[in-house]
Amino acid sequence: MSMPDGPSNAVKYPIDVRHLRKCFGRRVAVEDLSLAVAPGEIFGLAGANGGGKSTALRLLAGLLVPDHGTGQVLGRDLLRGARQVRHQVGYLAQRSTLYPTLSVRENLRFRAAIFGVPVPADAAERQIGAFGLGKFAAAAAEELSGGWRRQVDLAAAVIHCPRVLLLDEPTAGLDPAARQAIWRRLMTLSAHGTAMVLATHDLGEAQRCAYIFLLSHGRVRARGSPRAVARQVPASALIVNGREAMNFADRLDSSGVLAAQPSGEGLRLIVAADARRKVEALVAAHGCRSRKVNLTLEDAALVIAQDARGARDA
Amino acid sequence: MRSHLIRIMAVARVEALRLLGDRPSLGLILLVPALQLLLFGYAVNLAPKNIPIAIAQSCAARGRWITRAVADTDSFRLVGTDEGAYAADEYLSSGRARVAIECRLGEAPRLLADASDPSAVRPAVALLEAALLRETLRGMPFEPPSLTVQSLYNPDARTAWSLAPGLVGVVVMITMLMLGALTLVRDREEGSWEGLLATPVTALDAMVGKLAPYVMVGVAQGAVVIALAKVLFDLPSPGNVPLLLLASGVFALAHLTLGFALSALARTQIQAIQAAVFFYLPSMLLSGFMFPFEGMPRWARMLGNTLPLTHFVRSARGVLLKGYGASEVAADTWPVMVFACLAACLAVASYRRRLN
Repeated sequence: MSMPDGPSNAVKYPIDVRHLRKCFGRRVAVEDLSLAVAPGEIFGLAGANGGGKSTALRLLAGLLVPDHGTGQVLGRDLLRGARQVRHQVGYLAQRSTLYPTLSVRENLRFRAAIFGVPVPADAAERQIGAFGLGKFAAAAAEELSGGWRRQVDLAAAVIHCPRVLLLDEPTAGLDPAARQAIWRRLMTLSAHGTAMVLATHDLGEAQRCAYIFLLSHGRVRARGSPRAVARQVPASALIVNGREAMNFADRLDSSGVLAAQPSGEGLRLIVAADARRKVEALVAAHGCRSRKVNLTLEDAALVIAQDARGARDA
Repeated sequence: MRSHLIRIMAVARVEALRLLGDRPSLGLILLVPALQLLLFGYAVNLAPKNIPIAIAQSCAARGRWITRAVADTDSFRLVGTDEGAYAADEYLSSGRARVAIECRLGEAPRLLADASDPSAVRPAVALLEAALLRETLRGMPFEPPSLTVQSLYNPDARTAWSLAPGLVGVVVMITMLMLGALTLVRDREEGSWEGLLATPVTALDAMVGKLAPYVMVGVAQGAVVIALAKVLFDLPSPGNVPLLLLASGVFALAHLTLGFALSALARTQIQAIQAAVFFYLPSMLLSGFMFPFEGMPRWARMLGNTLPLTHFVRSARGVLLKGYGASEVAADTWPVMVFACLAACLAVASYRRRLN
């Protein structure tokens, strides 16, 4: 769910914030962010770099204090109870937060201790077992591959069994196998009722979320299921085929074509909704064929980013 | 309270493990004070000898009288005697001599000193003046009044004795300031700082936990310098040395907290180090470690009195040379405590500032 109609409670919506705003100097990083996340839900914050995703996560994690807005995470007020919020959520930062020279075991033990987990050494061993880290347990964090290091980061983030997990680019830079391993963990946590907010610029990743916000320049530009978000965007995708299709790209001007990229033997165009007829006519005039296909989430993000840039330049 | 203690212990444990894991740095932290003591103790001499002197004379009888006075000081090395009475300037300008005595027939002798480095010649010139006066009085028909001078606490004016107590403070100050200044900046550059911020660890928990192991290092450094000074230079240390080590812990904490605050405010390690240097250089100059504290103008003494090193140098000299006890050490330690508290407030206030 993005936004409950009535007042929510911590059981129904572990995360429930309204109209959050955060500025750094004169730059608005997050503007009017309202969302509610149910237990077990994986909520996505998608968009290009600099869109405000990480700032939004840091607000939810109690790392940053919002300039405006209200909200609760697990029943704790974001403004007055930030420390209690930090006590109860798990946070996976964009960069690894492990101490590089310490062993995996020591990193996990430390994280368990500061969250007040009884017998931190045992908790560390449990996570080592659960995440299959046995062969790396004594290795320094800096010696691990990116994928395994991310697994340890995740193991550390959930060592205190949080009911809310905030994930900033959890699989960025990982190979498909490592991504899959991380997603398996997340699905398990979701099945156990952990509410998650996941920030990502990888829209393929965002497709896995039940509900997403598409952010650009700090504002929510589209919201809904990944498929619904793609439908909200005032643009179309056209596949252009024919002998001259690949040369056609050179003849494109600013006639409403937002993007053009090869697609198999043809060309895939993202066209503004009001320019579609004109572009189709242009394609036909060059002896090519065009057919409309569904917009992907990535197409939608591209259109939104260009709209936001155009609005800002104007 | 218990949860704070648990978190502090956890942070301190991690910092200690990181420190112990970095053997080269740990070795340097303990080796550098030893090397500095050797360097200062054996190489530096506040009463320099063998200062090159020249005597330009046109009167042989007077020349012998002056030569006797020069030899009496045991501070000079005669590099030339010249029959030309006007050669003194040439000796000094060419750098062949630091001090020259010009003795012209019918005129009072003139002593010329190269004051481009006053500390190099001033003590020796004072000795020479006294020796010349004695030579002058030797021919007088009456016995001149004598003054018995008794030098207490360092009767032989041994440079190592006067430097070692201050060196304890300087070594601990520089090391602690640098270690403190690099803590948070390093964590931020590594990424671990954001992870720590996202936990229930408060600014105070983080500061106390991170700095506690380094306080131990500071005390160990102080102990190494004192022990070596006793072994190598027979430093008397008649006062309460364990109490001085306790005070060195407070002194270390003051600089660690200041370094921590600088670390919280700085964006990069270079910025943090520059800020630390900006603090410790004036500390060395205004504390009385290198130059006499009483010789400075009033404003400089007031500024010096705000610096922890000034107070620590006093208590270290007091304990290691004069036999200071608890009350004297306490009197010099409370200003350091006040400094530590103020620096801690700044550090706590700055802790989360960088993220915002």
